Amino acid sequence: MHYAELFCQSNFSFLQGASHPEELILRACELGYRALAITDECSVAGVVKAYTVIKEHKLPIKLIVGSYLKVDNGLSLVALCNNRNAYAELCRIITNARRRAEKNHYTLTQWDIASLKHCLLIWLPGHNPADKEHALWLAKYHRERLWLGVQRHLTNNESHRTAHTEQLARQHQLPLVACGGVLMHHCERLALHQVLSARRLGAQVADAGSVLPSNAERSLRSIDKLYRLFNPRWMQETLRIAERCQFDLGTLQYEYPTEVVPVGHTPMSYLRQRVTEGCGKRFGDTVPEHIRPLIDKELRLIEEMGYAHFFLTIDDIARFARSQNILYQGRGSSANSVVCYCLEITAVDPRNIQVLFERFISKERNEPPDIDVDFEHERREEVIQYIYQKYGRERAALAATVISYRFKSAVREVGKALGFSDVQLDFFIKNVNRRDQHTPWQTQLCDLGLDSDSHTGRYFFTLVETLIGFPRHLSQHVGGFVISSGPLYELVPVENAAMAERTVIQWDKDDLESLGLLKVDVLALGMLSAIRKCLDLVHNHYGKRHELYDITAHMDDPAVYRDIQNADTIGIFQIESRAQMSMLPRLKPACYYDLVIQIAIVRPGPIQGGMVHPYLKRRDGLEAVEYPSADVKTVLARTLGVPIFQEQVIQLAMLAAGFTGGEADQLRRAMASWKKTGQLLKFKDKLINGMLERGYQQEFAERLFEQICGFGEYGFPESHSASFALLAYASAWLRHYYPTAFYTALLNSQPMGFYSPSQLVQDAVRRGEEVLPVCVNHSFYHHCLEPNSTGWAIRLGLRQVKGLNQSAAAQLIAKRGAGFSQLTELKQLELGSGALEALASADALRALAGHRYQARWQLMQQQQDLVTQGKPSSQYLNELKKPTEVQNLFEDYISVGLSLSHHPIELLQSNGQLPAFTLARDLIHKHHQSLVTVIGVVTGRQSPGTATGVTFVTLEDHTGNVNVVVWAATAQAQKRAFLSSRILKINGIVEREGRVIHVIAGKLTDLSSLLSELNAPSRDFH
Amino acid sequence: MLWLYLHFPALQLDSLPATGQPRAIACNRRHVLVQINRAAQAEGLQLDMGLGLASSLCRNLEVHPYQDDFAPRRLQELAQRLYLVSADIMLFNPDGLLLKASPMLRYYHGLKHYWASLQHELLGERVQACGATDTQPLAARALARAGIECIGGDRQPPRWHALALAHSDLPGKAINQLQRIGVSNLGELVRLPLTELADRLDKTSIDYVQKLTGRKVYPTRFFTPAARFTRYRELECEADTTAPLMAPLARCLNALEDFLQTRDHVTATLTLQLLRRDRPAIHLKINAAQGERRAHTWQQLIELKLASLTLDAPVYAFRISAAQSYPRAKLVEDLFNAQTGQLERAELLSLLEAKLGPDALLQPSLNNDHRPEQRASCAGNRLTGDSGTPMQQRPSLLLDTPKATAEPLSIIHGPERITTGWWDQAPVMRDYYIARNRAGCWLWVYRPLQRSGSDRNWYIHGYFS
Repeated sequence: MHYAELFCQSNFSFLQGASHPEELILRACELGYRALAITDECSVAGVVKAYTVIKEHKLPIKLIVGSYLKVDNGLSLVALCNNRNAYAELCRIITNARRRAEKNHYTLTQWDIASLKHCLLIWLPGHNPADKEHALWLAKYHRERLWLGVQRHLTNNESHRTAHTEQLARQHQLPLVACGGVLMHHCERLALHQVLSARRLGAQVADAGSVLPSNAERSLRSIDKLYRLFNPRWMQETLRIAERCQFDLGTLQYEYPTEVVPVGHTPMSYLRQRVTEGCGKRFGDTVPEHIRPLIDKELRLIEEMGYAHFFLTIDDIARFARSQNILYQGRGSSANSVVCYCLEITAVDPRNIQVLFERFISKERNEPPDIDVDFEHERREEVIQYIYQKYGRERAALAATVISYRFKSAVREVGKALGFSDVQLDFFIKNVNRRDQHTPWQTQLCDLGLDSDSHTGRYFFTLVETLIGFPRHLSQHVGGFVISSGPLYELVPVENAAMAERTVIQWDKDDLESLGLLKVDVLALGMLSAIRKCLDLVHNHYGKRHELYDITAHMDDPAVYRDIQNADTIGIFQIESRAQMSMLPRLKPACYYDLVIQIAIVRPGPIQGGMVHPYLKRRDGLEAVEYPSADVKTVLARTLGVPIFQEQVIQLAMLAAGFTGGEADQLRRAMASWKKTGQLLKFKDKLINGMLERGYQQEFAERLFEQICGFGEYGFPESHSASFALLAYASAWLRHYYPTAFYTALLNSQPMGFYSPSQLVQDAVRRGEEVLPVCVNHSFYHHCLEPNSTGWAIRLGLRQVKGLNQSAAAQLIAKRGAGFSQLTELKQLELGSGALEALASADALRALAGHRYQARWQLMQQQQDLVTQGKPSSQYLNELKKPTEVQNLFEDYISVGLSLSHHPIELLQSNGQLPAFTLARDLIHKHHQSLVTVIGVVTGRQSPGTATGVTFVTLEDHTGNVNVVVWAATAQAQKRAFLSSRILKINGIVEREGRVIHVIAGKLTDLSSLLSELNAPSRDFH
Repeated sequence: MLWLYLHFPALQLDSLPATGQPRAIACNRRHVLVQINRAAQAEGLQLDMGLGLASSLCRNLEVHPYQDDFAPRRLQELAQRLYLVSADIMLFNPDGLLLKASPMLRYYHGLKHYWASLQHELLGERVQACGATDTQPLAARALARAGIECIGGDRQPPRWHALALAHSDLPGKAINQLQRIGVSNLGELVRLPLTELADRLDKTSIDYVQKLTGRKVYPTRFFTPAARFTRYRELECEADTTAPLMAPLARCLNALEDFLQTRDHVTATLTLQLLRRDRPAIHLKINAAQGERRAHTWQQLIELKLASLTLDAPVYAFRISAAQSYPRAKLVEDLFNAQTGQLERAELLSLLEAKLGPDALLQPSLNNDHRPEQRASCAGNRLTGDSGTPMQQRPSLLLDTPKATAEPLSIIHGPERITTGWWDQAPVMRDYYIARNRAGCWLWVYRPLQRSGSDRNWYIHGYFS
């Protein structure tokens, strides 16, 4: 007895299917099915997952690609792909149906179905009067490829429906075939399936009643049972159909766009030519001796793997960016190759970092080449438009990202279905700390009052747990483009994204990888915008033309490293965060590779794996550098025997635990999604046993696994760190030599980075920069440099004025000539009352209308004044009181987001409102473990995933920032002050290690009432 | 002219029974606290605080959702009560009353006694209130809303000049504009030249300034008492028995007695509605043999009525109303003229229910469920059941309790498998068949599924007609 299931929906039929494609395949295999068709509703989003699981486990089951289609006239069909042509036409009609409807919907017409010439079709009659008409129509267009599906789900009145179907078959001479109509891999998923069905209707399970399935017969059932339910002929028919379906996803061949190769060239010959040209440009006439063989080796590998097109496609995009003067930087394993350096995809000079080339394309690891290209964040859209324009929308689309249920969404969905109120669910979600590693969320929910022993409680826990990781909808990948030579819709369905004019394919990056399809990552990076702007400012005001590659040609300037070692890094790429800053004086980066390590080490992976302290000790010579074996030495030598990078962990798994290339690849993927799927744990035994067999210590093996888990979601590859370190150096260099231009460029690239404009300006002022206020007669839209007695000052631009749009600012600048002298001139520009009000609030009208209150009083006047020029328009004008300093401060923060006058703490201190305390700059004079009182504006509360139970609070006063560590118990006991203070007084203990100073909080006192309206934004809980 | 304004900052909170526990009323649109009691204040909670922060600061906070329709209703009741003490009352929804004080002073021999009488009434109503007097209605209102209790004659200097603009009725936009030219209180506002101000602020704001300062007369529309008595009360916590209803009911009946007494009326019928969550309300009619107004008599009648009532779902609130009231003299006439034999359906139902008890009154209904027991139910006196469409192949007669059978049956159709209902602890795991017995009867039979236990008997669950 054999059977092939031809109608089965996975959870990629959102809110219908209750099992992952992988689960369905594994279960069908277990039940001895010969084939399984994954037929999600108007989608093929789940098929690659099914394909991958078959390939990975070498399962003896055939995957049939198909789709369940509901036509707008009530017709329901299952379309199955018997060959490549059928697959192409299925993708085409799905694309058409999805593109003509809004996101997440589709509209399929009868004529779409009529256009199918290859697909095999199983018609599922609706058991209504329209059936006759449908039968005639279908038989007319598809007779040779048409079956009537019989479904038996043991529901009410089923015998009549079966009889009706048989009658239709006789009447229209159509063959019958058995269909499972599967929605779950196992009957135990019934509860989840009912929850999803109820939510699809927006109802609770208890209210959805008869709309829910009455039993679990829509699961994969044993073949025995199916033979008892269906006529054996119908069962045999499933096998005949399965036999006809010969399409294999693995045969999908990605064809690269041909435009990138000029006529007369092969892709490889053209790539060689481009590399030779670039080589001359990069190295001049004398290519260093050790570089030449590297280039040859890389090109050989590229040729062997057939990746020439891929490199040429990226080369083409990079060339476009250069032609448009858009700054970019490549990163990823392949990006750090000499080939990419020659093609100017990256500026990382191979002469500086030979060590990285081990990580080029790895044949053994079977990974596709990885090149992400970051562009200036404000100009990435130009690059995207170039791609669309060059390849057309038919041939270029973004990869999808599968948005899955996470804890919160799962709690909400299940909770609503079980009848919990929204308020209660909100309460649960807000009060569960997902970062608490010691208390599972189930226990936390019990603490919040959910009875785990109650009937509903038990179901709630199980259902939430199962639902986590289920796909919810498809979204667009941040910048992964798939470009093909022919229409993309013959390769994979394309649907609308949320953003207008964007389209996404139905597969995500893992799917693309599984099928060996390449994507080109076009990403956005704020720092590149800032660097580009800074380079332009330096050129315009200092007369020097620097480029990224000449700044980073040597990367050995001791002055730059001195700043970095002193943790004077506000605004510097990647090493400006609290955690990075506190590590800098310990690690003391002194060369480029130190920066590469610095960027990767302050990550949850190495921190959770306990790798940071051993590395520091070994670096300072306090601990001997040892390697458990020579193999391990080859992998870990450059990081003193401590695994820090993601690649090292994978390499260790291969070398020390004997993972094959394929297994290592699976491990890498499991790491990327382990929080989502938890699949990593299945590698644990294999890894540890593998290492023990090869003579490694249990402890070393366990620690490595810990680190793999830590790397899971936050792992950082060396190849990316190398590119980031280059930008970190470049930004540090610019900040050191051209601080005025650097801060101006940073401010002009906001929002980006870790600090707000206010914090950046505070830092600039502390470093002795002069910052001039926004002025209607001097400011341009962007912040700019203005000459002063010592050189250049930063003049704040109109872009900083909240509520003033760019066009109004442009109009104002165009019309001002030598400057306005009267408010009425400005009023006549008709910029809109909002724009003038915004300018008055920003105190930008000071030159024309006096202080803020006076300016506003004049602006408030509705009748255009007929008063002659020179006279004030109001008798009362001079009687208006002047804003106080505190009021000005509020207004500055509200309207410009920063203040150049006084810091709130400075004001409070001078008013005598504060008790005695230590200023940030004086903390350096305090002894380790001494008692201290600090007061500041709370500018950040950061609760990193790595530091359990600790929140880092940043307090700012006019002399600098104070780093405060608040332990969970302290925060718990003084919640009110901890959670809601804007100005905080902390009595605590100084903890210092070299130049790193923290205050460990003891008592927290909320002083916000002193400046209750202060509006300095605090960046909470990133 | 002297006006007295009463501001009620926590009408909904005051309506709940007193507690030492922190309690708050929260707006369920903005999720912020809008009324809090002292215990909550002591825990550091403040008005306008977010619900998330509040619940994390105070774990045992008891939160009730704000009800839009509660305050206006309660305000009506308060006006009704104060109408006994003061003649001209204006309603300021949702939380204030304006009283014309001047004409009343001579009846009370001065402001002091007048204010004391008002306070006495308010004490009886158990509401927090803040009172303020001024010669201008809006000025008195602003003072009271700011929480400044000042009861003084019309010669005292105005005290509202120092009030922040937020306590006024100025539109938010105008307050913002004024604050942004440095005007922070009402005194500074009225010092601005009105002509210049008129060129700068909207009409509503200018109108307000004029009324505040008395340059424009505030239009008055006084309250007239309702003709019908009705009260709605929510219980502190849902009640499974009728005992917790009695105390709040007694207070309402006292109010009823006052209501009728002032009119010299009586009433013969009270309607008591018991509101239950997720279940229809219970309507009870309590009739007195003759017109009655005394609270204790009504209370006895209600107690008798409630004694025969068993609650199958907890009650969270009740509404009591007197359908008609009439002067005492008309009572006799009414009795003789009363027509009999024309009972409304609802009246008939309530009479039957009163006579036979609620359990005796059943009505068939069809629920939205696969499970036969849940689908067809004979719920109590439920007038609004979901009448879903009947399923095909279901018997017309369903047995209350399925009957085990061993007689030989021939299966005609089936199975219909029902394995659902995990959510309410009444799951069903059965295979249903349509079968015929030897006598030719068409039966609806089932066999429990193996998974559900060892019972492999056949059961008859219904008969087809």
